[in-house]
Amino acid sequence: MMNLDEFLENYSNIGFNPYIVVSDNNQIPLESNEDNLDVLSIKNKEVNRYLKEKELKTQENNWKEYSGYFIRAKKNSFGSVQTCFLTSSKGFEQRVQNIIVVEENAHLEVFTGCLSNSHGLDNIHRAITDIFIGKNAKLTFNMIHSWSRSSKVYPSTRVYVDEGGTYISNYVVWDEVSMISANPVVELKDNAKTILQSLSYIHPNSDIDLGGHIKLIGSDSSGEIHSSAVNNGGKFSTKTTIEGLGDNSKGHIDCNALLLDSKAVVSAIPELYSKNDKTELTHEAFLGKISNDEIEYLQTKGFEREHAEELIVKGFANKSIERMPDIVKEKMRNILDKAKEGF
Amino acid sequence: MLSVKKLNIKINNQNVVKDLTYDFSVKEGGLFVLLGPNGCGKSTLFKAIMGFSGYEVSGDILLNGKRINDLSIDQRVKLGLAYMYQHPPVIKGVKVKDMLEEKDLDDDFWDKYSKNVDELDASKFYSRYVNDGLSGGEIKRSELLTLTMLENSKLFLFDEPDSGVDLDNLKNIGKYINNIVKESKSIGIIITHTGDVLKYLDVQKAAIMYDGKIVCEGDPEKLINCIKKSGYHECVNCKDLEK
Repeated sequence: MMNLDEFLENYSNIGFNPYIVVSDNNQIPLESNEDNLDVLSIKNKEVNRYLKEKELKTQENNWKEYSGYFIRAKKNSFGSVQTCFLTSSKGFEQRVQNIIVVEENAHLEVFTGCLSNSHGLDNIHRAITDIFIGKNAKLTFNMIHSWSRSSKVYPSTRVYVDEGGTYISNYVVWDEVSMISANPVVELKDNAKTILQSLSYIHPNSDIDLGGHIKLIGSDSSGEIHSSAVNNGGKFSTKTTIEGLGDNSKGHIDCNALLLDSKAVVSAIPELYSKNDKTELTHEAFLGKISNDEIEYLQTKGFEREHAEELIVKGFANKSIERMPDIVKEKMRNILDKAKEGF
Repeated sequence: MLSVKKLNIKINNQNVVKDLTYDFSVKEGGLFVLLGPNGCGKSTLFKAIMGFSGYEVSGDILLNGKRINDLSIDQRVKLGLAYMYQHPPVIKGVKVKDMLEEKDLDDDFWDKYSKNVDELDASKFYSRYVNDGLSGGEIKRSELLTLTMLENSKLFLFDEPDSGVDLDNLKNIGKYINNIVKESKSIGIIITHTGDVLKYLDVQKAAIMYDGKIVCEGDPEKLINCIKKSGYHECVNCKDLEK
């Protein structure tokens, strides 16, 4: 487990400003109100006023103690934010509610890291996140996890994309974590687009459930879900659904999983639902061990068998993130370079 | 340099190479060509020599007199074996660049690599996934380029470098094979069933493999002419050739 400084450097600090740190259930230390971007505590009264004015409905929470942020990228703006969720003590249950609004024609990039420090064993992170993307607006949401090996993580995410809007989610879990159950739901209006892509490394005691549900409500809307996992003996599930409802909507699901250990369990359940004869929905999947032909090929190039396997796993990981932004690729390169003990 | 003794190779319990004893040696910098019809066991022989899985091997494979049957593929490569695939696998995710970056390569290597890239017109392979989306000729050129990363290769096994290759590529590939074998003062064994590439190569010796056995050997030109005239079946029964 790396210390906080190392984590911030390796995972979360990418130079974006503002930088929001949510520690345990404490309120965010700094709020900002700028020309292009508002960052407020979720408990700020202005948040409710704004939601009411815009008639935006969020998921309910019944928590007594919680924290979280409200981010608003204003109309026609370009901006970026980095956020980090920390839990500090053993067994702590962090509860956060987050709201992100990207107004019409605005572009926002969010980079998020999650961390529990070296004392944060057995902690739980619960997050309710509602995202509203306006007409022709775009949100790229990048997340790299680094919880402790006994952390349990339960995010509940709802995303609403208005006409011509775009939502891209890049989700990476490489360090050991006990459990993640994440099944975001994305609703798209006319000409809206979403891509949900994830890469997970499943450690022997990990149970990772990364799914997704896309509702192609509007005409000419499109959605893709790409799930990749390297499973070294844990459990990985990905239940994904795309509903083709609008005219000329298009959806695609794929899942690729490399099984490195005989105890690895992978379950991929793609569901395509069409209620419109003008939709086009596809899916494909590959679950299996590393190809022996590929290993032997690399051996003929002088690599020992273990080294060849390592090269193929790294290649699988790099290919899985090739459509992700450079900042994610760079962070992943650091992580893979540090995985010296092999896979 | 390379010889086999009483070599039997089975695939799925079927004997493909049968009790073969043969010495493939030629002079340093020279080429040996192994001719034979499809399915006669040529590629199987190469793959067993390299140590690929899926082949049940008995008898001896000897490299410079040392038995290598029990060595892994990479150990055989370290001893000087270098193999050019006929049908290499595609490895999506791994680029030629990635393979090179994993090796500790010095300036001499990069000079040689750069020269070989020019000779093979292969600059585009560096940043592409291994063998992904390449044409027949490109696969051969990429394969030849990746041989550059092997140090101290002493024996090259070229498995059908002329299959699926157009005339321009054929000339380029033949010339390149000649050069690397001569410059590295090694030995090359080439498998071909069409013989198309031979006109661009300086081959010292040839042999015909038929039904899992080497049935005759001799001057490459004579053998090729015989095969072209009468076909493999008639050729192996021809009394004029060395048996």
